Amino acid sequence: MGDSQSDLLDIRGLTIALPEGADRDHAVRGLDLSIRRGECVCLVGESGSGKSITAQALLDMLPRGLTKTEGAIAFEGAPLPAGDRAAMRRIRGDRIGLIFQEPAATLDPVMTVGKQIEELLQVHGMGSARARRARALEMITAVRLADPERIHKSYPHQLSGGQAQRIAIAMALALKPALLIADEPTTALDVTTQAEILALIRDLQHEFGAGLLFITHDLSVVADIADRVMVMREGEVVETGTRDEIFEKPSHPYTIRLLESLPKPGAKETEPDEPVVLEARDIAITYHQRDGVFGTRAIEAVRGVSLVLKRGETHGLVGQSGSGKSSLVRGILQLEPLSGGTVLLDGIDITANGMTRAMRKRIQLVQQDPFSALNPRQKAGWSVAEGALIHGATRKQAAERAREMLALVGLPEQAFDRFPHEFSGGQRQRLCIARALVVEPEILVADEAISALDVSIQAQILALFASLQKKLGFAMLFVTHDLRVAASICDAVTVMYRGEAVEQGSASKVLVTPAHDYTRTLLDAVPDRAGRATSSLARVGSAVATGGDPS
Amino acid sequence: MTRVILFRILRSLATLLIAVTIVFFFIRLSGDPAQALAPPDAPPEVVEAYRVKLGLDKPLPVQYANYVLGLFQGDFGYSIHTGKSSLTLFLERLPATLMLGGTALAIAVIFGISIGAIAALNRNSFIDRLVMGFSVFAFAMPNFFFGLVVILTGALVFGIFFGAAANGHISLLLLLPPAATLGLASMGAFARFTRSSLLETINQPFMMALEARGVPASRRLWRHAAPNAAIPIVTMLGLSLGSLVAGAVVTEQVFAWPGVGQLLVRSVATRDIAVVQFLVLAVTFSMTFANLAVDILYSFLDPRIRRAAS
Amino acid sequence: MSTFRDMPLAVRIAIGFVILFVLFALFGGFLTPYDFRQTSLLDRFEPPVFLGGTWDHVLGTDGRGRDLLARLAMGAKVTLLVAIFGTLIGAVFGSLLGLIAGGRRGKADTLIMMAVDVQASVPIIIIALFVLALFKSSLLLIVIMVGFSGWENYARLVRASTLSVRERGYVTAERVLGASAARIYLRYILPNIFNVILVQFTINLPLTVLLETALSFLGLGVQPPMTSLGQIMSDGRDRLLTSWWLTMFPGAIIFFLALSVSIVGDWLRDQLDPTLRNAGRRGT
Repeated sequence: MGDSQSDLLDIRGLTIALPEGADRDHAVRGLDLSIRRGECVCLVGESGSGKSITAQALLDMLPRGLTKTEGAIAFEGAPLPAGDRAAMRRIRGDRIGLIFQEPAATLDPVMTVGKQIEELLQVHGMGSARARRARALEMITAVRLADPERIHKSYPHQLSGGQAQRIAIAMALALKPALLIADEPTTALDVTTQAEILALIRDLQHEFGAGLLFITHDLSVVADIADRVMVMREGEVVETGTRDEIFEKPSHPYTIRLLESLPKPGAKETEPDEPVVLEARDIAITYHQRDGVFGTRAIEAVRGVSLVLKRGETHGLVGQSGSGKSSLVRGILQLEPLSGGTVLLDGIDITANGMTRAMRKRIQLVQQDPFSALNPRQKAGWSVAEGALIHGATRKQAAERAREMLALVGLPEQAFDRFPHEFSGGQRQRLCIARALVVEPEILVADEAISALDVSIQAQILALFASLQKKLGFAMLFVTHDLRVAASICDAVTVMYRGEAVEQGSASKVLVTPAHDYTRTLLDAVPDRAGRATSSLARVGSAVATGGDPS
Repeated sequence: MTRVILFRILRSLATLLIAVTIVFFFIRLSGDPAQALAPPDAPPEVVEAYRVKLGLDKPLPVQYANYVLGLFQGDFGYSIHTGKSSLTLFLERLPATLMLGGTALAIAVIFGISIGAIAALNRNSFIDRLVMGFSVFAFAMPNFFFGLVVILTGALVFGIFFGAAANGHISLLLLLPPAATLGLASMGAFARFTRSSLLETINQPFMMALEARGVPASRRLWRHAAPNAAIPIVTMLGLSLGSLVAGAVVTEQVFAWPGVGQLLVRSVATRDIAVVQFLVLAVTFSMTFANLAVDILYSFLDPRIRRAAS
Repeated sequence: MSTFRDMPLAVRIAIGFVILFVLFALFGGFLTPYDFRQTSLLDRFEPPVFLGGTWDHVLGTDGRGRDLLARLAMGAKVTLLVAIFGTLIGAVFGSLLGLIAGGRRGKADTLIMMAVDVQASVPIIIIALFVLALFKSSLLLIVIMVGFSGWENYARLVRASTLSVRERGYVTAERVLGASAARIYLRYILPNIFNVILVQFTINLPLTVLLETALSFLGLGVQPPMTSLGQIMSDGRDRLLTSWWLTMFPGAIIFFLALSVSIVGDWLRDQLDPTLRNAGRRGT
């Protein structure tokens, strides 16, 4: 092995061609990348930028149809034996460890995780069964999982997302690889878990002295962990630099745009005297899951949550997945039956007598996934016009209204006659907003409306919400798992945890001086844009995870 | 876990009760059961005697209760032609049918799963298309036609007459043609299902992850893809049983195989209601039981279900 | 939808055969001067013309001297009618139940799905034999029984599809906008379910053909003097080794019909929705 100063990995001019008919010629073009031992290089880019393809090329596992046309990859001082199946097999898992985005999906569902770790050791030549078992337990302990014996004989579905990712990390590091590749390892996880996993990867990387190639779309994650950052866009590296260079004085416009699209805290002040448009009192929602023919099991998704929304105000509903925030808004919208509580819309109880069609106009919804929210067989303009048609407009009037709305949300006139699949994700979300606004609602409910979008698009849609609200004066109930987003646009905030509202108040109060422990955990877990959350990260990271990740 | 199994058992019992009820009411609906159960051309006094003996002079709910109680006590009625009890007739015929059905199932499972797996591993190749074509062929092939083709081929090409088991001697030579005929449709279904199940497993992210961890291809196939793909195939066992039972009725007729299916067809033709109702209930019972067994087996094989309820 | 020229060769041949079969069922009787019931003791077991027979009876005659071509045409007509009406009954009945189960959920759903379970645990041919033991066989009874084969698949698929369409984002948006239930069903749920029903129709049709012909083959289905393809086979069975054409011709027609419809059905399923491939199998 070379000395610690020489490059562990050296990629020169890597070019990977896309099959004919794709939207561009190359998945990756002319990529130069080098990593030293113990160094962390972050590859940042939005979906489709070619960052994951680069990782697959390193393992000689390119998807069918993609071919490496140019470039040289040197690993540990020798050319990578691409094409030699036996040689590559020995490198994979042994010299290069890989951590994936979907932790649970990358484990065999019908084999215990202990067996899976031991199998990895076995296929890379560890002969003794006893040694394999000892090493597996040692690694489970190393990734800070409590009760290693129990975890060892667990099946993947018995683990939370965070626990499964810890197992994946244990497998990636079990053979002390020289290079660790982490491909969006925290994207599928909840925000508090994200911080723990990030800290764990960083600590173990130092401990094992491996080089780390960290792939992500989220610049804020990078701030905590990177030595060097490379920003990729459409297969090409647009900017390279140390972490401080990239964050302090970015030079490429795309990097600047990415940095600016990170939401900044800056809570607005509330107008105290506006009338209340929506009030939810003691909302409870219980799902009855069918369990056999005769039995049902009750799941309490929401327990006794109240909230008040004033005219023109933005109220944030913050919590992790499974906290009951989406159930709550579905209950408020009368899409889900309430098992308790009342909802008052402009002072009228809509839970007792149901909602008339006219009442429905007053409160509208923008959903998380803009792909499924539009009928694939309907032209965009007519999807937007639906609301006007339902409320009695003629086709001509409705089309007229739809065109106005398209202009309002910043879509060109031609958009009217296109089908949903011809739009990008951000444009589709604009269409959904236009469809909701066509009936001139007093209240707009945005249910994770930006979380399915790329970062730079998120910022645009967030800005669109803000400007439309200013222009049209509707109140917003803004559901999000992302505290930074809540901080940037909400007047008031309700923090939800396991079906209950644990904290409620003005955004400035809740987010600056949180009273509840859970809110504090959430806040600590948020990396700020210049990466100064390191102290809190270290705190979370050093605590041994109890294995009870909230999920 | 025990709760889940308990629910499955209750559900099966409910299914059986519904089946018994339907059989009871259909017999009442079809006209006078005394007339139907008594020998044909019986004088009115005999029919009347039957009426009293069967409790048909009592109100309907009492009759129903008596009927269900009778079933529990093993009173399954007697054949009007031979005078033997339905149960005896059934048990006489059962070994032949079990031998035929068991062989057919073995053929279907062994060959079906093998060719399905080969097709999946050679996706979009000529072999794959051949196997898929075969499964469509097997699905569309009526077993009475295929059976006759087999008999005709045997007679014209090999000079052997396969439809001769009725004489009482059952040999391997006489067993294989009807078993292959009976197993054909299930074999196609197994092939098709194995193929899609295995393909689905192979394309799961964890298979890619195993490759990225340097696990050799053969081990990925046998230790990971095969067990995962096998679990859903177990449900096919339950489903294929239905098509085997249905197919046995026709196949036994074509090959003059002295089994339960032949008994059923003969009893229907001669309107031997007591025997027919017993055979229908016997089929319902065995299929419900088999499906229950498959369900329980399934939940033991799949750790996601096995542990979910604990 | 692609045009006829874009289809794979097998699908084109299959469609061709289905059309040919329908034409034969409708007009086949005009190819021969004989009535399908007309017996002639002088012309028994005549071979087809290509096996040394005469042009008088192109496909030969059966044991009572009846013209095989005339009988096949009539049998095809009966088989076609039973299959189409039977499949329609099953499709309408099963789809309605599935729609109710998926739309209303709760008690109705539980009851309907229990009925589906009961039906699925007994092969339809056993139920049919039971009914035939009790009631006098007639064309109407056969059609009704064939209609009941496969309804449970329609019910299951339509229910699943209704439930999934109801949860799609654009249906949620429609509900939030205040659309009536009728508008949602007519504009969103039915068009989606239509594809499911169409595909299941092509899967079920061969099964109904096979059920009817099997019952008739057992001598328990369509009764003389009426005839069907299965019954013609049953008639000719005793002379299998000497006059094989009496069984092989009708058998081959049944097989190729079922095969053609299956091929068209598979292709249609892939065209309409590749994710439907395994929709018919049992979930857990």
